[in-house]
Amino acid sequence: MEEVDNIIIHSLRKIGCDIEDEIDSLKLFSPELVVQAAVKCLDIIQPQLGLPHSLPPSMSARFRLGASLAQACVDLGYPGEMGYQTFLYSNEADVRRVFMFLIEKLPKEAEKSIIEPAGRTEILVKQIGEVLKKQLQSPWLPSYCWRRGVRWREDGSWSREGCGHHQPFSSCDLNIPKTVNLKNDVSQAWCEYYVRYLPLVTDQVANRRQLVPSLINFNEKSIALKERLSLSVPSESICIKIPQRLLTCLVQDVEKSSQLDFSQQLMYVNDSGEKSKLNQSALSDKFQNSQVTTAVQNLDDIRTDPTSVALMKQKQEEEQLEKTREEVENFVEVTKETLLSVKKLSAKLAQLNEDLPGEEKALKELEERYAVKKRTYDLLPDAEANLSKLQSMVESSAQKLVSLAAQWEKHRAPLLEQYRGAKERNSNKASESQKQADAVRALKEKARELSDEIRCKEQLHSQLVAEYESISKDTKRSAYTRRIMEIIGNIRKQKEEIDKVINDTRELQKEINNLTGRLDRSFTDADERIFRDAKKDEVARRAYKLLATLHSDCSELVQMVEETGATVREIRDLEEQIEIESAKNVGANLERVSADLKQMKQENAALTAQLKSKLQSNNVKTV
Amino acid sequence: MEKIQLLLQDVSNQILLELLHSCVDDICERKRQYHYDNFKSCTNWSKDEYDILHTYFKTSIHEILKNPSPEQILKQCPGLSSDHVQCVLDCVVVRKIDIENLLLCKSFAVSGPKLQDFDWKLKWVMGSSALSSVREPLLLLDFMLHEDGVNGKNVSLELNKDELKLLLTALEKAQENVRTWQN
Repeated sequence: MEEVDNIIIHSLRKIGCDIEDEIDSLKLFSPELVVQAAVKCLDIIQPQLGLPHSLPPSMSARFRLGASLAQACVDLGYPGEMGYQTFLYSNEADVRRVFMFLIEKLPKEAEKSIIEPAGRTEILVKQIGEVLKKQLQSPWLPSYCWRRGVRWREDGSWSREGCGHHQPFSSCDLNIPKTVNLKNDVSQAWCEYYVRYLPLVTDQVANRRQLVPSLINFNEKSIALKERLSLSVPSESICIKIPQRLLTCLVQDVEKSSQLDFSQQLMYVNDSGEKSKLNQSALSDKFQNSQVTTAVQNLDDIRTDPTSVALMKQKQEEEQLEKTREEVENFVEVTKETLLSVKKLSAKLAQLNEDLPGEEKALKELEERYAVKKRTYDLLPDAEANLSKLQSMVESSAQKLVSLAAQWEKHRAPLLEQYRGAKERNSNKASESQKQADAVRALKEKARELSDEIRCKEQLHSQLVAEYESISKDTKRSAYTRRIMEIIGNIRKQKEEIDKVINDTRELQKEINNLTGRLDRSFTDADERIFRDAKKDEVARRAYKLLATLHSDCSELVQMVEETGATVREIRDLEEQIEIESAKNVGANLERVSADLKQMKQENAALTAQLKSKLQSNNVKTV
Repeated sequence: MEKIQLLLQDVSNQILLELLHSCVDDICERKRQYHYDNFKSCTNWSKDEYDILHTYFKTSIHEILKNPSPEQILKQCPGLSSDHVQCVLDCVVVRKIDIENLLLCKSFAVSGPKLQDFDWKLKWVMGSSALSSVREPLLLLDFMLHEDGVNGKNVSLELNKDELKLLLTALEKAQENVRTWQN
């Protein structure tokens, strides 16, 4: 009971009751304290009641307060009987029951005080939790009450429920007019196809659910294509830019070298067709220049000879113009021809250059062959002597070779042995190092595994620590649960003991039954035998009488013992009842009740006296 | 052959084009826009005759595509009027890209399944059987594959953060390899 009292006092203190430290059980609660605590509890459960927090001095007001408290408790669903006496003339058991009921009814404190989350994920988790709570609280609806799996609420929010309307993202290829890309290339046939025969996008998909995914897919593809194009464009533009820069450079060079000889110019730019084209344009520029110079000359001529006839002048001019034009044409043709020949020649040159190394190689070979042949021809005239000389030379060289071989063998054998030894040692070392490397690798692997394991464990540890911290704030709870577990254990033990006792009593009963049965049987047996003898024998007749008295006496004795057992049990029951009654401390309560009654009577007397005096004074006034 | 000529004798250009486009739609495995019912009202073809025309054009379009020119068309379908030849040419020129794309897809399909679409859902795991509060995001990734002309082989993956990173790096590497190979 102490545990329960502690819990009750703890929770009462938590809701703000002013309970002194030395009060540690409900036995020590005064009626004032009981009423105050009950009012606090009821205030929290039902704030609209508005009961006074302390006992009023007037007796009748006290009774009224007690009655209303009892009514409130009954309204909340208190299962037992209760009235004003439960609070005003309290006994321990009733008060305990009332407080247990009230504290159970208290709204859970934990629901109110949620730690404010910090950080984005925490907020997200909280929101998810709220939404889930909302969805769980809403009543179940059959699927045909939703439109497309969406449930709308009164406040305008909505949520998806069930999985009947989830659709996978599946698309198909779409065909859409490409007017933007083709611009100039939209021919009549394309136009007609797009306008008449190309189905609408909505008709191109096999299933209406594919429409949006297909559109998304199409857009994404076109964007990706554009990006890829823009990625490849820079290199192309560089390619375009480079020839342009080259062209400008070339043009400048050509202009600079315009004073140089023509052939030089041609040599300068004869590499590629593009350059030659450019060259032509440069040339035509030059011809224009020359035309200008001739025109200037003409002007000079006109100035120097002012007297000549205009016609003559014109003719001369025309002739000259004709001449120069012819010259220019000739010139152009000549240059074209020379250009062509230059191209041909340069091609030939390149080919010759390619052939050159091969030819040089052949030349070298031929020269070598020539030197050998020349020496043999030199030796030919004195053939015999030279032959013998050569033979001796061959022999000496052979001997030399043999001696060298012997020498080589001599050197070779120890070296070979040394080499073999070194090789063996090397292989030994290599295998040893291999072993060590293997060991190192295995160790490393093991270390990595261990570190992985450590990391996992650490993660788990941190997670558990976090969990533990989030839990550990409510230490009371765990203590209570531990105590509850202990109590349950005790109860189990007690139950076992009770079972044992019951078994014992059952066995005893069985034994008693056996014994009584045996007694009966032996008695009847003895009775019959002695009865048979009793007809003949006087002694037997006396024995029979004695047996009968013995039997009746013994049965009386057994009855007496049973009666005493029953009385003892009755006594025990009565004692328990006395204890219960004495726990209710009726005497003290009775005294208090009588004292309260006396007080009330006094109050009543005082009130009647006041009434009388008022009446008298009224009478006096009226008189 | 003569029968086909007879059938096409007094058919307007528009109807012929409709027929041709429906043939091409069939070749491309698209949803057919025109059916026999569309032609029944404006021609006197029977269902069988319509089917004959359909198969005839389907086979001849394949041949014409090799060299789209009026001569080739006349070679494949002799006896067409000049208007009709122009119609066939228009249709073939316009739909050439579609048929090419189809053939490309078919030849791609030889080398294995092709990724058609992918779909994803993000899930937030609140707890598991081992731990009461896990709070870990999980990505449910569905790859819809297209294999041997059969749509709808699905491969589903459930990835946490690290696994998703692994997958992304692998895919990026693959993309880079493809790019260098292209260059």
